[in-house]
Amino acid sequence: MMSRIGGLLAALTLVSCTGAIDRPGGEGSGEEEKPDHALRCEESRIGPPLLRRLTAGELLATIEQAIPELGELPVAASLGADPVSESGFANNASELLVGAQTAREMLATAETVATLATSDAFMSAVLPCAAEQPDAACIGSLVDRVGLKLFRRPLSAEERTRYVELAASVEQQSDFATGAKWALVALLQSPNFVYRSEIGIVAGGERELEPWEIASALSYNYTGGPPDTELAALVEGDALRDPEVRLAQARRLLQTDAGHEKVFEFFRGWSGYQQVVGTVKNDVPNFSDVKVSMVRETERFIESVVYEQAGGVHELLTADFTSLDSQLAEFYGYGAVVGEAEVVQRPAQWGVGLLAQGSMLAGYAHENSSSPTMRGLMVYERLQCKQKLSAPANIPNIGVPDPGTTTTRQRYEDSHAASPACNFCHQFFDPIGFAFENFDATGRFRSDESGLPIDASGNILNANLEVLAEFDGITDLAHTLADTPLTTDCVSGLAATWSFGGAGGQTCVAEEARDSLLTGEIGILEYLAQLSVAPHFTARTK
Amino acid sequence: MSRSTNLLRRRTFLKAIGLGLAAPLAVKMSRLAVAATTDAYTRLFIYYVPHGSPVEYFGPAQAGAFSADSTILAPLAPFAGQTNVVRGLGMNDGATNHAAIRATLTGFNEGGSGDSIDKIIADQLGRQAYAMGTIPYAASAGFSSDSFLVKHGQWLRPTEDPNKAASDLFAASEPSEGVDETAFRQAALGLTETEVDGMQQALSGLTKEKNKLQLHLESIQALKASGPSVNLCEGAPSFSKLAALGSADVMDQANFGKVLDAHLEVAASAMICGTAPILTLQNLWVNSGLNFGFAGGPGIAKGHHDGLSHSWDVAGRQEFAQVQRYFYERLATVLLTALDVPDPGDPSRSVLDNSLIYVCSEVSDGANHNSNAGPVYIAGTEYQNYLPCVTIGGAGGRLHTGRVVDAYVPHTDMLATLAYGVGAPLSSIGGQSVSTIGGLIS
Repeated sequence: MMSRIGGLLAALTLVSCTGAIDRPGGEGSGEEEKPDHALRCEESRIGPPLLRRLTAGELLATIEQAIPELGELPVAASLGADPVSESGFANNASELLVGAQTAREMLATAETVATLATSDAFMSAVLPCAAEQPDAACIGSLVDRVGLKLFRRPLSAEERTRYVELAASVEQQSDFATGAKWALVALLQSPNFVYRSEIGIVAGGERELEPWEIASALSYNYTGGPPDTELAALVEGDALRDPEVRLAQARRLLQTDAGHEKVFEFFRGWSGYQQVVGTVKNDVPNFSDVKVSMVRETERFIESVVYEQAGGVHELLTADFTSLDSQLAEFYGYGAVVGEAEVVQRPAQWGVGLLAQGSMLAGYAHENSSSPTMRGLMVYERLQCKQKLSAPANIPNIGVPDPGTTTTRQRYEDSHAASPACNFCHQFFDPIGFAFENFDATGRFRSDESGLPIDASGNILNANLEVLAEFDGITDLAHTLADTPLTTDCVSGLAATWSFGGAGGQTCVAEEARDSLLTGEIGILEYLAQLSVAPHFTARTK
Repeated sequence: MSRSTNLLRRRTFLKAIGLGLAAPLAVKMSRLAVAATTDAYTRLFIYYVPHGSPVEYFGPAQAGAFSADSTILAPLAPFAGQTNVVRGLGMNDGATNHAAIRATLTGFNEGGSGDSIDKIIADQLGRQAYAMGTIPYAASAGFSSDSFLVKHGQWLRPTEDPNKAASDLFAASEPSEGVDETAFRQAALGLTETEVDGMQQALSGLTKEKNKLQLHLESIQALKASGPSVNLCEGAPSFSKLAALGSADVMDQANFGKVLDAHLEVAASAMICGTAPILTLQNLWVNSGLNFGFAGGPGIAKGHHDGLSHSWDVAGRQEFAQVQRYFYERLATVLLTALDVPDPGDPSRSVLDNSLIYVCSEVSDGANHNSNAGPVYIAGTEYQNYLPCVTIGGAGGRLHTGRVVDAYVPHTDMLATLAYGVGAPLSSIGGQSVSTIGGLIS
């Protein structure tokens, strides 16, 4: 069946799944209204000023660059995982706070790092002057050098004096090294280190970010670490105020190893492909052997589409290849491959693009069966930006698989479609998930389901229950979604939200770049780079 | 209590421990004799196990005296006289399905605007609450709303590593070697406090960002104010299960059993020594598919959520019951047994007498996804289902024990009962009036 995309699809309104079913998060729950990431505006807007607490990864990367003599830090366990926000990303500025737990962990980290840096093993490298001239000037040089990297700007004289005086005070009661240690502890706990300032200064009707703030935004947004030498040099003369300069820097940073990792961070948060690692498939004993390979396969696929082919959302969803190692090729049934990352064409019925990746198919499935609901919801939430629905109360679990007697689709239709209360919500995503039914719980292709024929046809409804699109199978679904403006708008909106740490809830921050991505003029990588020329990158509301 | 009295009690405790065989007998005898409420402080330990329980393998058939004759609760048999089962609780505030984890300890759907009960009680008693977690979130997905159980202003990420928990709970009470750097830490924190305050003052008109810094400021001030914790024991405890865990990856599902045991061991010592009077141990997270085929586990290689808790058939529900029983078995073997020693602060009773252990979940029946009390039908038979809530320990004499109590009330009343049990009575939670559960109050 060919795709039939209704013109209304792009204007598909949010489905509000309320009514007969009482569910949390609804009216009167007191929750803030969740932003619509697919929302488009006539022109780009700027968000509010923000203090963005560094993520655990950013904190560690910054310390490692500030005190490179220590090498890779043994303190990762001191800084715990950051909370994942509703949008799926662990870098939302409104949720990255310094409560009691984080403050404790930061203090522990600071003490561990400072103790190490001032130990006999590292002192001569970290602070060479300590051996010859252990005085205030020596401490001052440490504060200047480490502080510059930690604060992403030179310290003021007043700030410098604070740390030097703290060291001197401690030294009076102990020794030079201990004084240096506690000056470092104070630096490593400073709010000037902990937060990326995107506050700016009031200029006319809005706030202009300062040169060091812009440099930090570029660096952390594109590499997850503090500004490098080249970026720091551009602070002089306010060169980063020039959009062309910022764009060039963004492109440069995205090509670094840290830039690649940063791009994967977005894809992990957006698609959840890495969640397959935590799944269990008891009926397939060797599944646990290939979970990590599936993640690597998806990352090679993203690397190929986004970096090597400069692809956009359309290519991401419809690319007809993947990259396999021998173990995974055997698992899927591709046959022998050469090497550990051979690019192979997908057989005609084996799907295309990101949605056909084993990591996605197995990650969004049950332990012992596929899940049209989980897969459909993934598309519904992450590719159409529909609001996440909380499961209502007292919903019996769907019937157990009965291979050879009932197909998964039949079980879901019997439980969900046949029940008005269930179907009230499930009609919006189960029919999307049916398109994946040619893939089992482990992500492998199946032409039938234990001998029963598979019906992989599905549809997308709007809020008025009008059919906006119909498709048959995962390839058809992928092309339908790829051709739908809403999909690209959703992805571009979520990517901007991620890059800007939530942007204070403002979703229309990069409308020009989103247009370019939508028309295929640019790919995803260039889209991310062009976020650097959005007004929000250098300005904030007053 | 004077220092000399305290030392005397410590010596009595150590003597009892040294006597070995005599101690349990002494405790048992004293338990018979002592029924009055103690002045010694009461420990609270909250033990969260997700995905409910299959009621046909959990529930006592009727109210009255508790006997640990169900599949799931059988491991509590040695402590039957100290155990209560509350039948009839349902989630408050419309909290439903697995999302009810956010209401389990806060009392309110999505967590409401207040703190979780451990923090509320800790604040009232002027103590610190501490949260540990046995793989409390998926390492591949991160700490998310599926993991939110304990709320201390923000959702708190439980400490995943028992080694870190041991360090947190005992290091502060150990005398430092060499130069005491406490004053230097205070000076550094003071500098940070000044900087955060200064940054906050500079943010004129930016309320949201100022609020962030206010939280930061209060957190630094709390760190400054925290001193060495109470330690009723002498010397650092030894941890055999922590040693067995070693440096293994605490987020690796294969290590679940070792991590759970190590957490329970650390918790037991912290309760005995009084270094952490209010503890929460969060096991897993909602929708967790952790494979229960790990070494030392119940030997059922299925995922906890899909493979086990969703079971409808008899065989599957029996397996789920075995897995939920495993949590009680480890609780009894590692923690409850360890607590059955004289309380160093009140040697006439055991630590278990002076503790309140609360076992809870976010749903009633895993396959039904219900978080309320009411009938469910299993293989054509009707059962009255409810949140599986169990208390163990005498709560310093404030609670009756050895009972099965029917209380068809919101679970916030159970939270109020916990607060009463540890000497921090509450009349409301989150602005909502609450009552203690009458059948439990002595």
